[in-house]
Amino acid sequence: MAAAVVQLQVATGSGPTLSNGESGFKYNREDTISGTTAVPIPTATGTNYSWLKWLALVVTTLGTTTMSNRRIQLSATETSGLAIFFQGNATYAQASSGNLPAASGSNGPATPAGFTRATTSLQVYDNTSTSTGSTGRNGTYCETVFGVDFTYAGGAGSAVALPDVRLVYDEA
Amino acid sequence: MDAWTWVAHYADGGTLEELDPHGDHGFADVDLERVCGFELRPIGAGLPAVYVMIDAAAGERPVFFRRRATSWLLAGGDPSTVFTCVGRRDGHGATCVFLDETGRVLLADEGAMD
Repeated sequence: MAAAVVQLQVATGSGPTLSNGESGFKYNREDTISGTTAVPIPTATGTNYSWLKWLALVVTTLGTTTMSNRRIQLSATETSGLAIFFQGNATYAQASSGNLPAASGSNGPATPAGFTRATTSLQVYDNTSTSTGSTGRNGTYCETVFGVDFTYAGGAGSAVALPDVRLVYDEA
Repeated sequence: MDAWTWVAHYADGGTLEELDPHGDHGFADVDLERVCGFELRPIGAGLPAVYVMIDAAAGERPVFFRRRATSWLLAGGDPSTVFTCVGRRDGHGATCVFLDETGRVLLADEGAMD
């Protein structure tokens, strides 16, 4: 079949290592898919952020096609005080305490510099056309981060619900 | 398995088929300037065939792609939804239809291509 098999994967580690993200992943303060090191809720007006989560569309079975128009979409709007942000980024940097967005002094949650808030609408993170003739990441990373602000009233926990994230693309 | 496969028809009578015994093709392999018709041939039973006439001399070119999405992680919904877009474009814009896997036309305006 000409079509490629493609999977949403999450990059971690220095390599990085790309792992299946379609069974879920957590926004945390770890360089892991499912760790539970919490993002602290601000104790005064402001927004705190998770460590970076690097998503990617990964070709797992070759195709004879090309992919383009890669976009991100949420299944619903987040609970008030929570937000997911994204930007396309071709250059990976392992998530760490040194490269998460600096805490903001504003609620919103405030959008970190360079990022865009993800919504239920499709938003492009990479529109380059790339062959599926090679396995591995296709297109840039979709660099994401989670923010929580002082207004969040949902309570803490290691399994705070967020909307589903999916990546959408065109293949021809 | 996708619901349709495509066949590009050239003005000289030749064709280029996506599923080719000698090696499958991507849409990028199509010589767009020579296409006079673009066909979606159903793979599954009960689906309509679609044929788009292309006036290459007037600057028309075929449009084709499949819009795919990774599955919703938690909701468990629409894990395999694929929309197939087919149509034509010229210097003024595009005219396309989007088909779901049951053959229903879901969207048919240029903005839907974005």
